[in-house]
Order: sequence, then structure tokens, then C-alpha cells
Amino acid sequence: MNTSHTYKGEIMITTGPSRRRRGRPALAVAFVATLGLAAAACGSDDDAGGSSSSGASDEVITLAVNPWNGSAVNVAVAEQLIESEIGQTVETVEIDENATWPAINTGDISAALEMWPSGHAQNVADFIDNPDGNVANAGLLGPVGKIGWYIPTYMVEQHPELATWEGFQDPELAKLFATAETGDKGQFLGGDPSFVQYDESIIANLGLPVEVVYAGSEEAILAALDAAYSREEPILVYLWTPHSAHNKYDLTEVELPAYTDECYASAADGGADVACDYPADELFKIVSEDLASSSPAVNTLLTKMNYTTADQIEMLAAVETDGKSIEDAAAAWIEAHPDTWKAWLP
Amino acid sequence: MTVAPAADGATRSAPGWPQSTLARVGIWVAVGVALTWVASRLLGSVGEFPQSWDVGLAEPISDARGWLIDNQRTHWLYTAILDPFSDVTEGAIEALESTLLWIPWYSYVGIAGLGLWWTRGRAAGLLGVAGASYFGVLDVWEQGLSTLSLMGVAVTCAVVIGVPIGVWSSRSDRVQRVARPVLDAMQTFPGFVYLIPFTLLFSFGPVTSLLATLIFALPPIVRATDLGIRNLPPGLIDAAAMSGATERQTLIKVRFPLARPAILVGLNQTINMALSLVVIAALIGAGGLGGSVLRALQTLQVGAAAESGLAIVVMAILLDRFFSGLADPTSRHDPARVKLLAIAMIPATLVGGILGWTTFPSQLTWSFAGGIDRAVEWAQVNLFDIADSGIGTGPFSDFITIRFITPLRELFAQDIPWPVMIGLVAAIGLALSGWRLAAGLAAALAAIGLLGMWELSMDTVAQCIVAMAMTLMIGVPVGVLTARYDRVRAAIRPILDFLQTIPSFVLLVPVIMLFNVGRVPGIMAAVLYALPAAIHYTDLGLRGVPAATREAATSFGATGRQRLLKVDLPLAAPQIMVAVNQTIMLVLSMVVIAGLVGGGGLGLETVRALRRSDSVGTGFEAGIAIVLLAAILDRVTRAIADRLSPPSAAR
Repeated sequence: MNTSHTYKGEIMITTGPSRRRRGRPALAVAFVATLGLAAAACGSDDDAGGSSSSGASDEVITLAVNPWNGSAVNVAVAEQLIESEIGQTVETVEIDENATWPAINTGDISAALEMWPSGHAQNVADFIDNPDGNVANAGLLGPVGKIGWYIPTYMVEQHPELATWEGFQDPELAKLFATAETGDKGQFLGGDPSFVQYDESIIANLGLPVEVVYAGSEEAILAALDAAYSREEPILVYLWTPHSAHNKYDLTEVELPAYTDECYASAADGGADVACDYPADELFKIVSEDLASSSPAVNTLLTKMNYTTADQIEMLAAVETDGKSIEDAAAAWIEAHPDTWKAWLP
Repeated sequence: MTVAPAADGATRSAPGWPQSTLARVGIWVAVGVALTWVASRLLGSVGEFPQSWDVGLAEPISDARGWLIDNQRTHWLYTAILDPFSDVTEGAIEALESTLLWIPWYSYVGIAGLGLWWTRGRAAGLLGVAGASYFGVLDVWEQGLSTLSLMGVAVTCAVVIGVPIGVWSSRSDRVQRVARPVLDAMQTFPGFVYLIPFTLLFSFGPVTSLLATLIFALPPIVRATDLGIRNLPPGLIDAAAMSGATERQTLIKVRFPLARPAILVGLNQTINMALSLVVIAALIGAGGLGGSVLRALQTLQVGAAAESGLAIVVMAILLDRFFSGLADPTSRHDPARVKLLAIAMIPATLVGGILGWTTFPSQLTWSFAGGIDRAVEWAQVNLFDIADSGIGTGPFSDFITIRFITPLRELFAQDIPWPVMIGLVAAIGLALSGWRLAAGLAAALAAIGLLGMWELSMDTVAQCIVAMAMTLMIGVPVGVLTARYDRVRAAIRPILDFLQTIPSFVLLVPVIMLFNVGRVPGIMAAVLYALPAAIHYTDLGLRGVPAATREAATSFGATGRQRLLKVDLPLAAPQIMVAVNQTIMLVLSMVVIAGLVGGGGLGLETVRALRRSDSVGTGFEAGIAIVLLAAILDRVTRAIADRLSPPSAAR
């Protein structure tokens, strides 16, 4: 009969004589000693401060890699140029974009190279515009992002009306996108909460028989898109360019009423009146304000760094379709476009 | 808290659910449903929970955030306390990591093998060797060590902090009363919400990850220490007192050594909890295996994510087997030989470390990511709707959504007005236990409304109930099987270990591909996660049924099925309620994951808190609502368990 497990929890109380257990400390010690060998033999490389006349210093530069490939290729280009042209060591940290801001504010991270303005109004106000903040806007990166509504191109081929928002006014066409979550209405798969989303307002103000379901993460949107695409099913998603998904799937942007400033007048208070397309997102860079004094050369390079959407897509395609590593793609771009990056050097 | 004993004494020896109790419960439920219906009709016009009552925690939390940003570089709180603390901790983690990286690979294989050999025997030793080699073969060696070092520091901190608190709480009922809800909240409050505020306090990286891990991993060791010391047989303590030991001597020389096995069980759970946070810690730069999982998922590389995720499973299994073996002092194998080999490993380690034989030989690496990717691709095309027959994961998902989740949500969020809901929950508390429980439950539920989280909470509750029902529908029958057949139990144990420790993030993409974005994929992930606990506790309960009782039932001519239904299950009922309780807790802990796959509800609000700086306040409100929901469901299920236990076992 085995009743060593009691109802109160699965903690087993052994009440045997305790002296038996005292027998093997030597073995335990030998075991732990092997594990914890030379805990003292640690070498943490803490090298700080000290700048030379050329503007280079021996400070280690820490760059934030945010969780998408665009961010990774920007950082790889900057990393290779800082190390080869300025001679400072670069470390990279993979980190959520929102967590990046406080870390740059303290100077623990030196810079992040691809911020999407639409998702960071609050952070800009708190860390850049705030006089006590320690984050500086380091100018535009170059590529222009754009949020929009996307459907697989095979849907447009079957129903050409769906190329514009007017097509979704037809309840029968909208119903093609219906799911168990939305009943008779079409489903609009809303995105990762890190981006601004006015889709509920747009849908209400345009009077579309469509309902938003929030996917909750970029991974969820991509998985849903991949699944629908593989089964050639209808799907209407929130997505943006540049994005790796466009290399993998043939997608068409649904045309919404053109963006105007008046249409976005209510955007600051939640955007209840928004009834038009998203504005373009001019991607920008942020650096720690300390960088200008501690590593001026790096600060100059990162501030001047600017290339085109085509430049970035060249690297993204190498990574996402040719299977190159991020580092190799960046190195190939540096090799091919010296004129572009030479202009960034201090 | 005694259940009225059944009318005639004979049912005691051959117990079943007394007919009278069943009838009474039936009447109570019928009356409750009728009253709820009437009250809902009468109060139908009350509408939503009044927004003007919203206490609005969001505002003060945003203000606090602003203050932190303004003072992050200058205030003494940072320069004198937080920054030095971060530096020291970070130094310790880095030192440990570089030490671990210095040790040659074969030493880890040796340590894992010898450790398991010593505590569990030779076969386990081979498992250790294979498990440690997995990291090398799958080429996640460095990530594994990085995770191991963060874990090592987190678990060490948990022991250093948790054991004294546990001892303190075992000596004082008042401390225990205060500690218990705090520990519960630490485990149920979603980490997503405090991750970003923590980066404001401690900046990014290992320290923040460590603290987030610690919050989640501390409770089990505190509880285990407390319980372990409290549950010692009084005779031994009296003997110590009689032989003239002081209170302190008794604690150190008697209580503590006797409670050691229990504390080790707690340590084991602490390690498991810490490992379950590895992926979340990677969101703020902790890297390691969690970082690999996240990176792979960004581009939907399920196979690569599974490889790293499986490495976390392997680490959890090896540590679990070692520490649970260690907790049983009677289980030691070939100590002389193990000792000899362990000593021989010291020079081998030193030589390898000095010569730099640290990396696993690369010609031995192998990858199964491609195979998994192909399997997932195949499944999303072929299982979604098998041959367009209307059978498959897609139609199943629609069925669950339309028939169960949506009606339940409408019932809770719309059809039953909020005052009726609060009254109903209070009535359940009153029927189960008494006024105190009733008042507590009502207050907790009202607080959710005051936080402005009523509707989202009802949505989440509806999802949790469906997930719980599915878990129990699968878990209890499987538990019955494993209790009856040892072979089944042995066969599914690795699957259960896998389900319990595989990071839920790895499952995100496959569940969406199979079940569509919405509330079902989150529920499926929750079912997979909670299933092991449901099976385990059912199994435990059935195995605890005294053999004599079972034999008596058989000799009275009961068939196998009669015995199961009339004897075994009723006797195991309290333990099965523990299964229900654990299932609910685990399902609730998956609410956040549901938010990541389209489940909405409270989960989406906590995800928003991670993703958007202006949503931290709302995230906290949603987090508190989750804690309160967990507390309500926990107290209710525990009260039911108490009523089900036979008087002799009631507390």
C-alpha cells in the first residue's frame, strides 16, 4: 500500500532516522566541487571610458537588435562599419523594442536604428521631448514604412472588387472572410498591439460589414497568413511594408480612402473619426545622449546613417530568400555600396 | 468543515456518494439556476458595470512611470541602491556564465551521467549522458549554458530568500496568513506586465530577467519549507525538547534535517518554474535558449524553435530527475564507483578547461528542424479539414467557438447582470463554507468590476471554463488508465514531462495554423499545458484508494466498472478536486498566451502592456484582475474539495 502522497499536497515526508542521511557528504562535496569549479576564475571585461583625439574611444558600443530582420540588418551594417572604420568594439543585444527605450535612457544601450513612429508616440514624448529624458532622435533611417490592409492576391484574382475598400461594402464579399469568431461579418485580423491601429474606426466610419479580431502578436498574424495561404483561403490582415512576408506570399494592399491630415485630426484622442488610410511611417534612429561625448565618432556615424528602402530590401532578400546570414548580407551590401556609407563617416 | 455522515454506518466501509447528498446538491443547483434566471430577468436593465465606479489605477501607474524616467539617472534611489545592486548581480551572473563556458563539454556529460546514476541508478545515468549531449548535438550548447547560469543564480537566490521565509512562516500562523495570498499573487500575476516597468528600475538584461524569474519561482520553495517543517511528527519534536534542546537547536538539528526531503521537492518545483520563464526573460535581452525560441518564431521556423524549446525540456527533465532522486535519501546507487569517477573528473575538467576544450565537436551535430517544419506544413494543409469532409481541426475549432465559448461569454458578460453574478458567487461561497468565504468572493469579484475589467474578465472566465472542461474530459479518463496500468503510466510520463515544460511560445504557431486565430488556439495551448496536472492528480487519488476497500468491493461482487464509479472515484474525489484546482490555475496562467494568439480578454491587455508604453497602467489592472480571478476559482475549488473529503481527512 502506497500512501506516501497525502491530500494536502504532493510533498512526501520521510520520517526515517536522520542519521542515515549523514553518511555521504563527501560525495556531495565532490559532486558540487566539479560543478562550481573555479567560481573565482571569472573574467568580466569591464572596459569603460577614455577617448582618443580622433573621436574614437575604447568604449564598447551596445546596439539594440529589435525582433525583426530589418532591425537586424541595420545593426549589422552599423556594427561592421563601427568596428572596421572607427575601431570600436560593438556588442548587440536582442531586446523587445519597448524595453529598448529605458535601456537607452540609462546609457546601457547606445542606440537603436529602426523605430516606427506610429508605435512610439508615448516613448518619444517621455524620453526624447522630455527635458529629463536622455534619448536623442538621431534622424531618419531612410526606408519608409506603411501600414495597410492586405489580402492574398488570389483573392483579388477571384474578386477584382476586393482591390479597394468599396468591395468590402458588399456583405456577400465581406462574408467570404467570416470566421467562427465573427459570424456573418468578415474578419479583419488586427495586429500586434505595438502598432497604432485605427481599424475599428475605419471600419465603422466606412460602414463595412467587417469585424476586428486582434491576433495579439506579429507571430500570430504571420502564422494565420501562412495557414490561410497554404490552403488558399480568404484572409484580410493588418500588415506593413517593408516586411519579410511580402517575399514569401503574393499579397495585395486593399486601397483605402487616401490619407489626409483632416481625416487624422482625431488621431491623438483615440482616432474615433479616422476613415482613411494610414500615413507613411518614416523610420528613425535613437541614440543615448551620452554617446555624443563618450564616442563622438560613433555618434556621428549613427546620426548620418541613412539609406533607401531598396538598400534594406536588398539585404532582406538575401537573408530571407537566399538564406544568407545577417552578417554576410550586411557585408555584401557594404562591399557593393561604398559610396553610400562613406558619406556617413566622421 | 465536516460532511454530514451518511445515514447508516455501513456505507462507511463501502462508501459511495450518499444518495441524500447528491439529491441535496441537485436541489441546490436547481434553485440557484432558477433564482439566477429570475434575478437576471428582473435586473436585465442594469447594463454594464458602471464605468464611473472605475478606480482607475492606470493614471497613478503612468505617473509613477514618468517619475522613474525623469529620475532614472540622477536620483539616489538609483545611484545608491538600484544601480550598484544591478552591477553586482550582473557581475555574478556573468562570472558564473564565463565559468560555465570554461568547463569542457565532456564534464557536463559526465556530471549529468554521474549525478543521475548516483541518485537513480544506471539507466538514469545513461539518460543523463544522452540529455547533456542533446545540447551539443543540436548545437545549442552556449545558449544552454547561458540559460543555466541565469537559472543557477535565480534558483540560488530563491533558496537563500525562500527557505528563511518558509521557516519563519512555519513558526507563525500570522506570517503564513500574510504570506499565502502574496505568494499566490506572485505566481498568477502575468510577467508581461511588470517586465517593462522593471527595465525602468534595473535597466535591461540579466538583472531584470533574474527578478522576473525570481518572482515566479520563489513561491514553491517557501511553501514547501513551510509545509515540510509544519508537518513533522510532533513526537520527534517533543523528544528533542525533552532531551533539553533549545527552540533554535530543535530547528537547526531536528526540524530542518527532517524537512529536507520536502524542501528538495519544493526546490524541484522552483527549478521548473524558473525554467518556464526562460522565454519571457529573453524578451528583455536575457538571450539563451529563450532568445533562440523567440528568434525562430519571428520567421515561423517552428522546427528551430522546437529544437531550442526541447533543450529547455531536456534541462528540466534532467534537473527534475536529479533533485527528486536526491530528495529520497534511501535511493543511492553505487556510491563508491560514482565517487571514484567524480574525483577522476576533477583533473579531467581542469585539463580540458585550461586547454580550452570547451566546444562540443561540431562534426557530431545534427538537426531535426526541417522534419518538424515539414510536419507542421503537412498538418496545416491536411488536418485542417480532412478531404473537405467537415472533419478536422478547423471545423472542430469553429464548433467549439460557436457552440461553447461564444454562448458562455454571452451568458457571463451579457445575460447575467453583474449584481446577479456577484450574488451568485457569494451564494456559492455561502453554501460551500460560510459567510467569510462568501464575503471574500463577492469582494474580489466586485474589485474586478471596479478595476474596469468586468467584461474582459467574463470573456476570460468563459474561455477558462471551456479549457478546464476539455482538460478534465481528457485528463480524468487518462488518469484512471494510468492508475490501473503501470505500463500506461510509464509510457506517457515523458509525454507529460514534455507538455509541462515545453515553452508555450513554441506551440503558438502550430496551434494557430491548426485552429485559426481566435479563442480556440489559446484554449488548446492551455489544455496541453494543464493536462499533465489533471492526469497526475487523478492518478494519485485513485492510487490512494485503500486496497482493502477495493478488495471488499470486489468480493461483494462489484464489476470493474461498478467499482470504479461507486468506490474508487468517490473516494478519490478530493484528490480529483485538487486536479480541478490545479487545472484552473494552470489554465489561468495561459491567459496571456491566449492574448498572443487572438484570444482577446484579459490576456490581450497584458500583452498590450508589454508592447506599448502607454498601456502599462491598464496592463496592471488586467494583471490584478487575473490574480483576483485565480483567487476566486482557487478558493471555490478548494472549498469543494474540503466538503468532499471524508470527515477523517478534513482539516
